[in-house]
Amino acid sequence: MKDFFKDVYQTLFRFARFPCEPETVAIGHPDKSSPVLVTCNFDYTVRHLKKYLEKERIDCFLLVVNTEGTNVWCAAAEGIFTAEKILAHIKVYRVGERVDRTRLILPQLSVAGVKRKELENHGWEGVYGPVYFTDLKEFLDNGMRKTRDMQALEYGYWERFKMGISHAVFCSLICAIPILVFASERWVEAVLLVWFFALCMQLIEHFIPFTRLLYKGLALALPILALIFIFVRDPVAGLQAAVGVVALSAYIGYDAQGHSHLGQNQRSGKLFGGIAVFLVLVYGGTFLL
Amino acid sequence: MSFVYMKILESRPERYDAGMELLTLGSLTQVKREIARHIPSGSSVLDLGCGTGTLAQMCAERGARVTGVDANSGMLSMAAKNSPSANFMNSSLCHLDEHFEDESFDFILSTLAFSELTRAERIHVLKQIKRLLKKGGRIFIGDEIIPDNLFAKGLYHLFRLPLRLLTWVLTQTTTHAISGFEEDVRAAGMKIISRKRYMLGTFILLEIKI
Repeated sequence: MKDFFKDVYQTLFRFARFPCEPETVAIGHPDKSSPVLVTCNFDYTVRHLKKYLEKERIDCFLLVVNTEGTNVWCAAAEGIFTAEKILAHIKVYRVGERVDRTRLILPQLSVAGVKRKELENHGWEGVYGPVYFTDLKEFLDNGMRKTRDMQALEYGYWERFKMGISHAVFCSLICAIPILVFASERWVEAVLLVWFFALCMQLIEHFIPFTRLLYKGLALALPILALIFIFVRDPVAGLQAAVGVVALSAYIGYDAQGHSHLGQNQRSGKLFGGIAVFLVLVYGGTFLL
Repeated sequence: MSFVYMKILESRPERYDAGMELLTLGSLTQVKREIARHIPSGSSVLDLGCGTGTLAQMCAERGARVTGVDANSGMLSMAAKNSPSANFMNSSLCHLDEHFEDESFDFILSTLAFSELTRAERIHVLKQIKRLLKKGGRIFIGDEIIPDNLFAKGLYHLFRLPLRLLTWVLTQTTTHAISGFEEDVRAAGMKIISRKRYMLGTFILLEIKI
């Protein structure tokens, strides 16, 4: 039950870091020839990975490397999950004394940060394992060979939904002050809009025909603007609402890069362009009214 | 982490000193000055986790030969500008054994570096420090600690929370106070000669010998 609440909490606040204690842990009854798996000290992953390994009765050593609580993919992209970090861990926890093998099974998503050549220079061989740890048993049983499925990253609707929830929580926190200052009487609608845009940016963004996330965000505002045009009779109130809607959609679309599995080529323009859109529309636009 | 905040994080080194100064309410600079006061001209100094090189520069101004080590290359770029006469090395503190011979330094210094390490890493680094220090050398470690006293601990958390939030907003980083550090120092076979406390006992400067 405790784990369930932890899962909910860590999903809602996925943008934050959740560190657990770095360690070298023996799962089951490993001997010196048992596989050595590597992961980051992101609590969510470590808890679920340990549970899986115990359930599948995989005798192994698990190196939980200190990335300050950042998950494998983000830590590798940010340059805090590196070969150097793994080598430091091996040294500090004297991993070499516990195993004969010098082969490390790395998460495939660590490829952006962990350079195998660097590990090789220090006498360790790195093998990228499957994308999902739930394929580890099959991977090990197959003599560490990956099938095509094991290499495929799926960004399914459940994963998109969880990411959307986290993005919505984050955007609600960021937009709380502008909403309270400029739309305090309509804060419920504004918060609902934040959640609508954030969830849509994850769930249906691939159906919106733009590459840049900023434009996808703005496209999401169109049906809401149509509703405002149809139902709001007062032109000043309508214009005010429209400015707020465009501002929120632009910001949430722009910021979706940091909350998604979307590729670098979909990155939405320049940083200051995004911030300017947000500030000009929310502050400038509302002051003009 | 948000894309927007990731960008702020990337530009952290320029803001680091200001953020840390705020977090320690000026005590960090005070501690660095106190350490530098002990460094004589011509001595060899190793600054562990040198960050932006402010302590390295204070020691270099006193005529010491300074080597700074830090794992963050962004910080080291700033350090090279702040202290042009010092040498800087981009390395994790866990890899000191790969870079330096036994008994290489007269003084080994560290401010706010141990609190970024796990306990296992701290013990590992202390062993390395013992190996690297020349006979008769001194170690100065300034870092944040969690007070042992229950009341002081409560006060500490109350006092620190807003500062931590503000510092995180400015620099996207914070420090992690350590507990039981003096025991780890003694367990590594070192002797604490003196200790000075700052910020209601939450920041400590230890002078250590082997």
